[in-house]
Amino acid sequence: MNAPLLRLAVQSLLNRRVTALLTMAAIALSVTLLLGVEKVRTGARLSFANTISGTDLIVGARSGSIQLLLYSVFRIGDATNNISWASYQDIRKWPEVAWSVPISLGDSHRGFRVIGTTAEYFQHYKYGRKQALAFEAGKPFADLFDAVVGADVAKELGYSVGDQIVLAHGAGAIGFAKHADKPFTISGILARTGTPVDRSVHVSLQAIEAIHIDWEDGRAPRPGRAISAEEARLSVLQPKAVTAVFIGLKTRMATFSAQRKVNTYKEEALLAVLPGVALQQLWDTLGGLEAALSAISVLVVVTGFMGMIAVSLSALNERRREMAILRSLGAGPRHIFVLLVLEAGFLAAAAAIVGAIALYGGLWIAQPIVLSRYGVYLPIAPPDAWELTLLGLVVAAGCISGVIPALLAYRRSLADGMSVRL
Amino acid sequence: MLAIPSMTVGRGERLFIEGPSGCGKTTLLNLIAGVLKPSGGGLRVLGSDMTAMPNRTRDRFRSDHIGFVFQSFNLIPYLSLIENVLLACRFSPARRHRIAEAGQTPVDEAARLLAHLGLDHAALGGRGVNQLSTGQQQRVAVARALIGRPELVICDEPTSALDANARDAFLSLLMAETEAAGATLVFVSHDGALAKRFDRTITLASHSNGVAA
Repeated sequence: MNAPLLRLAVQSLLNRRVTALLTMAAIALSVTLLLGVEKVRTGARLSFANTISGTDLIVGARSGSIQLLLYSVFRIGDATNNISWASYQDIRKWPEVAWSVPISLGDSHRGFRVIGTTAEYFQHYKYGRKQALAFEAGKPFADLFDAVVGADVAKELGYSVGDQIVLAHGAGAIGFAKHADKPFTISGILARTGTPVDRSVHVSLQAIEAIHIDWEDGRAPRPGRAISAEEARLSVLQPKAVTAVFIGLKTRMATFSAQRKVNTYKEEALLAVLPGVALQQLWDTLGGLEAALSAISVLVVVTGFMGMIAVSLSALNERRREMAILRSLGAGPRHIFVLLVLEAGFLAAAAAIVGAIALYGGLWIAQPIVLSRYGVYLPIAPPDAWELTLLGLVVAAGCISGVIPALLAYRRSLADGMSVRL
Repeated sequence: MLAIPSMTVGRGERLFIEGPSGCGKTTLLNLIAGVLKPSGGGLRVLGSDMTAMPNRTRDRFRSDHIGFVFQSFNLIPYLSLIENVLLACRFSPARRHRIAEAGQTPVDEAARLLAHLGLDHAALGGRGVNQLSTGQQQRVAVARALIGRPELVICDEPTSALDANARDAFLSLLMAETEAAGATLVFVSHDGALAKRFDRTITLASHSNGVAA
């Protein structure tokens, strides 16, 4: 008996296509939001976890582990303190250390962070599933005033290999003090990684020394005390400190003992974090926001269904005659009930499908924008089990919403019978 | 409160029930149809005891054995002409079965009935049923009531929305088709002038608690 009722439900919806379409669109939008939040959540989480891999420890001055992770990997915020060059030299020679890459932060170029590092950075820094950095064009820095820029830097500022850039002192988007006397030449452009590397400018540690050689106490040189780029080349450019060090160990078994060794280092107060653990901690601090977003999207879906119930209830009055005709033809009150539940269920199912399609359309448009703006890669994949479950829940919620008008119609059709007159 | 001491309608009979509005005509029809249950006494339709049936069985019984034509707004606005007629078969396996026994398909049978009633569904089918004239709508309702040969056809003031000419033509068609289908006809109206065309007339008094047969 359900097949003819389903047909009736569909035809009745078609008859009220304007309100049905609007109701469906409202629910479809809420479904898009629900799935979209889910996609962004999982995409952000994945991008997050993929930002750094293959590095066993990150060492910095003693502060919070999340803070260390933020400034060393995500290039957000600033280090409160540095690691002395002597400590770095000591640690890198420890027997359990396979490789180490120091980084020095503090300068910027038109809003993009500048990383002073060594050529080993391009060899050992890994992201995603232990993918190494690749060059879209050019090669690592060889000359003192060479710079390697990330994919976004090159794209947004329209740079190509050979272009000259000037670094600014400090990390702000607008640096007042420029290192204009010592311009850099772009020697290479990195391929896109979907990580903060895309938004970084890489130069050698010596270059960082060179541009600050004539600076005193963090201030630009006074007139007459400036040292030219050519003079700087001839100076001994020995870094006095680095901001953080990425370390790879010979065996992962040594991770915890090496971490303890750093944390109890006598000469200097240092902190070593395991990137995976710190990423998890960081993600956990964002958990509240995540939950709030999900809650909002669920509430929007609920709002959509409340609208549907309201529309359905208000239509019931004009449909009393229709119900009476169905009753006269042998439909029982339960048929009337099922008809209205089916209508709601069908509307919800259509909304789920349209919402999912809209989501993929939206993803298709938003993917490159989100990737370049936020470094979060949103994969366009068929809905996974959880997303299918969500869609199923939406349809179920639609049927449940249909129960309210259906119950009313059921009770009315019992009372009215076939005798409604218009 | 409608009280009827006793009333019997014979098979194949054409019965006219008249009475002013509010006298309980519609209540009587709802009782016969099994939509309402009598508060006391007994009711047998086509040999079946309606008071003893569970609700579902009464709904099924109604769809299998009784066809209805109401005063107006008989048709479901979102269904086509032919779908409105076929709707009667959708809820009734027995009607479908009887059509199949006669070697017909429901669609052919619906078209045949409509044609008999002077409606060319091929020509009218494209239009929404609400664009049909009231007379046409009433004839579609007759086709729906008769499809699948139910034993009883109940008409509740089916002519009161029609003008005099249309009324007579409608009544003739209704009589002819009901007779051809071999169905019993129970016709309710406040218009006593129609009574002469029926086998028998029952008058319900206003606020009635009695029946004059």
